[in-house]
Amino acid sequence: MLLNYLKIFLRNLKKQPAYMFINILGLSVGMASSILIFLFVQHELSYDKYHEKSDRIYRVSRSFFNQNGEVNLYLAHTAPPFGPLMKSDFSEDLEQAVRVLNTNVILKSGEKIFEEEKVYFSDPEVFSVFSWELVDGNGEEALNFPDGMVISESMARKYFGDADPIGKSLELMISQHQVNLQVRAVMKDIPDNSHFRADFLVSMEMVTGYFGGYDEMMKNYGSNQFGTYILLKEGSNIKNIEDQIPDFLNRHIQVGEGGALASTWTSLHLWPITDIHLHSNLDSELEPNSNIEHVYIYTAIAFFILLIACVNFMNLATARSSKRALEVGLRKTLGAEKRFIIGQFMSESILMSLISLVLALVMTSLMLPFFENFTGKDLSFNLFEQPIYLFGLLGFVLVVGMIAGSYPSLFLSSFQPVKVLKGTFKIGTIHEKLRAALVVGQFAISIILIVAVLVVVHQLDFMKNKDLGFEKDRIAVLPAYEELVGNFENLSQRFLQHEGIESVSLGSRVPSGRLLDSGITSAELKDGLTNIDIRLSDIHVSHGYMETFGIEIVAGRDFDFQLPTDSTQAFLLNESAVRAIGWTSAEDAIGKSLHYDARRGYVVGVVKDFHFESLHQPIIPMVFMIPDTRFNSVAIRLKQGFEEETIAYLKEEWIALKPDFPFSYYTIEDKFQQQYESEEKVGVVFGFFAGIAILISVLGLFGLSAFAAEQRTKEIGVRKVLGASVKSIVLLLGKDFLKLVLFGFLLAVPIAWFAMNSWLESFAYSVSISWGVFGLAGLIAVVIATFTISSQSIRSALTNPVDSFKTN
Amino acid sequence: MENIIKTTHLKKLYTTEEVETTALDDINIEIKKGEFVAIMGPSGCGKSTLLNIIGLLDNPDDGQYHFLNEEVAKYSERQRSQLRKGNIGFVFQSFNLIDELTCYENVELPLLYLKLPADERKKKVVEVLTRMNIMHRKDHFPQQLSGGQQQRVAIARAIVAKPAVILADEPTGNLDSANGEEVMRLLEELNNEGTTIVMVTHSPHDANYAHRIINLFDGKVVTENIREQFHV
Repeated sequence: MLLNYLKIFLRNLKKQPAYMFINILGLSVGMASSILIFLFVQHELSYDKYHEKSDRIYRVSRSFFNQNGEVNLYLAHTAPPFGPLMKSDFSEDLEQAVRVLNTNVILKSGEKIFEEEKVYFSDPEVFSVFSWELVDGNGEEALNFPDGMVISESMARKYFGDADPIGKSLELMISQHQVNLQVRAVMKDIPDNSHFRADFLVSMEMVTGYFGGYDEMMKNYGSNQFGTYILLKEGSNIKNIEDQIPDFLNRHIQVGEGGALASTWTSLHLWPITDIHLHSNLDSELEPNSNIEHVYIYTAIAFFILLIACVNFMNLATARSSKRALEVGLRKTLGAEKRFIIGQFMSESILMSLISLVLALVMTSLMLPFFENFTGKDLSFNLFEQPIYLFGLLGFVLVVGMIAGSYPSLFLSSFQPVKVLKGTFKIGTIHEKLRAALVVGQFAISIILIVAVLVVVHQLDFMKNKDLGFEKDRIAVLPAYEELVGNFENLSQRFLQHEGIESVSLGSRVPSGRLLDSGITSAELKDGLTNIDIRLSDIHVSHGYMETFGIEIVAGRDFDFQLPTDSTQAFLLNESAVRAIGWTSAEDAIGKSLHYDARRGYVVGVVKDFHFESLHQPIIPMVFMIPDTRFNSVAIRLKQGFEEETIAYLKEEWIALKPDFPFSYYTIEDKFQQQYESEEKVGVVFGFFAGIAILISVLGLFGLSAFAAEQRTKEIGVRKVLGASVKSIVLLLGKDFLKLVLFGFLLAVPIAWFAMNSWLESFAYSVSISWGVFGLAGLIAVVIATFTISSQSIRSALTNPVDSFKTN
Repeated sequence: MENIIKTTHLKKLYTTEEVETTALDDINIEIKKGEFVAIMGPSGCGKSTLLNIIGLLDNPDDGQYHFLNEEVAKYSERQRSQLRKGNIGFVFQSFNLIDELTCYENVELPLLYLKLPADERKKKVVEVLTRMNIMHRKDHFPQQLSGGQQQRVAIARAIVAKPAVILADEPTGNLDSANGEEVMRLLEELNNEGTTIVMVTHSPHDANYAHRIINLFDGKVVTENIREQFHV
């Protein structure tokens, strides 16, 4: 019997190639898209699951509260004492606690010198927590040596080529420190589904020295730069530890000025390691994480694309059912029961789905390299190495085939042989209405996706071009070496002689970075000097910082080089800080006393609010001051037209200043753009898959309109004989379908509006969705649909009426 | 001789939103095993409706229908289908072969639904195609055959399962006279071998092959004649 079904299927395939092509192409494109998205989503969900003890590993994160108990800073990192203290205090429940500290350093081996970002100072026990595979040497032993280092295979190749890296030394340079490290173990590259990927693990000993020894380090609760991970004992409950955190903090952190217990202003949080990649987007992270929302969005897109493709199949199969009606009638007459007919059409659609899968796999393998490149992830899959995929795909074929075949087979099997054989058979209006509803649904999904693309593009455009409140163009940022900071006045005078340089200044942080530093503030209000419980972020700057960045001063003045007290007592605030402190206006703030940590001084000026951080963050209160330390960056404003040669000049100067160091710089504008990369990717993915959704919908519409034109050939002939124009016939055939597209539009508008508004809410600053976006999306859908339908209807309208009669 | 078909007060109505038409009204007929019966009457008199009910493709709205001594008037689609296969063969005016299947496969179809093993199917199909003198075209598709050949394939399909009854709905309507004659001779031959035949026809010539003619008019049996009385 199956053979009989197969024969009929293959002969229909041969007989109606266009119809089969539309079905198979639509299904395979839909399947290929879904497979790609599945691979991506599966990869996203697999983060950190490769650790054997992943269900027992937790990251310790730290938050800070204001007086109202609201979190005003939430860091993925904690201070250095927490790891060791937790290990000893919670020894009943904890098997291990380890810390890692990530920093940028310069590494040198002979002639090879590189700036490295993925260097992690680590406690030796990291190897008993994380499942990092060692190729050579013992990781834990290696990190127990004060100069010990573990490097990844690819880094070993980068520095030592094919030579055995064990025993080789690398020179590490960080600000004025320079030490020789010895490679004592080599590990496999950390899998890319890790929330952080170290290239080098270095003994924590050096950091301990930097903090002034172990005892000093264990007293420092303010340097929250350490990634801290705990490993729970088997059978222990994480809740036991969570419940004890307030007591733990109160026990160890000294009660400060004002006497507030530590647990009232700070807390620790324990994150399952497998949740970090998709759920943790805190104020600091070891590496940027992804977002579970993107996983939901991509999954929904895959589902909808597949649904559109299945709907195509259903629509075309039922629309063409009259062609199969006689066969069904006869089979029933000859003794076929309903279940046989259902079985036949189900097997046809499963077979169609199987053929589509083969084509989809070809498409997937062609598209995978581009998709991998785009997502920056290794998504490769091999059906024969991982049989689970093979079974998964077969299941996928069955499900898709059954969904696509469900309605047509139930519909076709309900034909009554008497009516079919008598010729009185007609497709019921209910089925026609259902088919119309499916087309409406398809176009609604397509239009929603178009709206999504337009809104994402609009928001990206807005973020890229929004006036940030300062001049972000042509500012190059370079690392501030000791040699430069110590001799800044002379060097900046020299730089300014260059025709391509407009201004030079130093800063602890520059716009496009995060604002994570803060201190204890008190300010002069009506009742005298008052403790201010807000997070006031500080930026340490040199003279000329405001000028370099074009930051506008709305009251008072800038730091003045002529006034030596400015370097010890003057503060500049932004408008948000003035408001948060409680002064009535910028002018009101001028001259008022302000204490910030140890500095006692007064406000000399107020700058207009500007976007220091990306537009994901709201503008927060800021304070600027001139210290003599903590400069990390040099900001240089270049003159228009001289950018390239000035960078070349700066390179020469920097190399002369620090001969063995690689020269690197970035521009503020680029750095801002980079922060929108994730949205940009969402935009591209939306665009791509919206295109696919539309393509599949159009294929379906094309098939349906071709069929409708074919069905009405005789009617068209009669109308033409009676004097109908080509235009009126095109309109006659087109208007029914256009009506469906318009209904789709009406359905799409509220859904798209709601969905995109929710997306925009994740931005501190966003566009509002204008009617124009919906108008444009609707117009795109109507134009594409009109084009598709008219290609068919014009052909029918131009047919000689005599031929129309002949074909009937 | 034993009745194979017996209808008592059979009634069939067709209802639309506005009108109710009586297609068959109080039909009482008996057809005995081995009989060759022709049903005649003008278009719309209910011939085909009666044939569909006799063929278990449709249910009557009222009355009783005994097929092989079984009361089947209220049978479900599934029960009718079970009874149909193997017991009733159909021959249509427009042949109704499945275009996508070859002659061989068309003839094989009823046997597939009877779930006969492959070798037995093959034996039966070859036998019947040979008998119909169409074996040499077994791998051709219906459109590649003449009308007469197509109808021979259709008859082959109708008899392959050796049914007790063959129902033929104007079997020569789409054929020229020579081919029509051949089809009628085949039916006669089958009848001589014991197969009961019920045939709807407009043609008095074809009706002459029958033992008995039932005349319908406006859904009612008006006369029942033994063939000899009409013989020309």
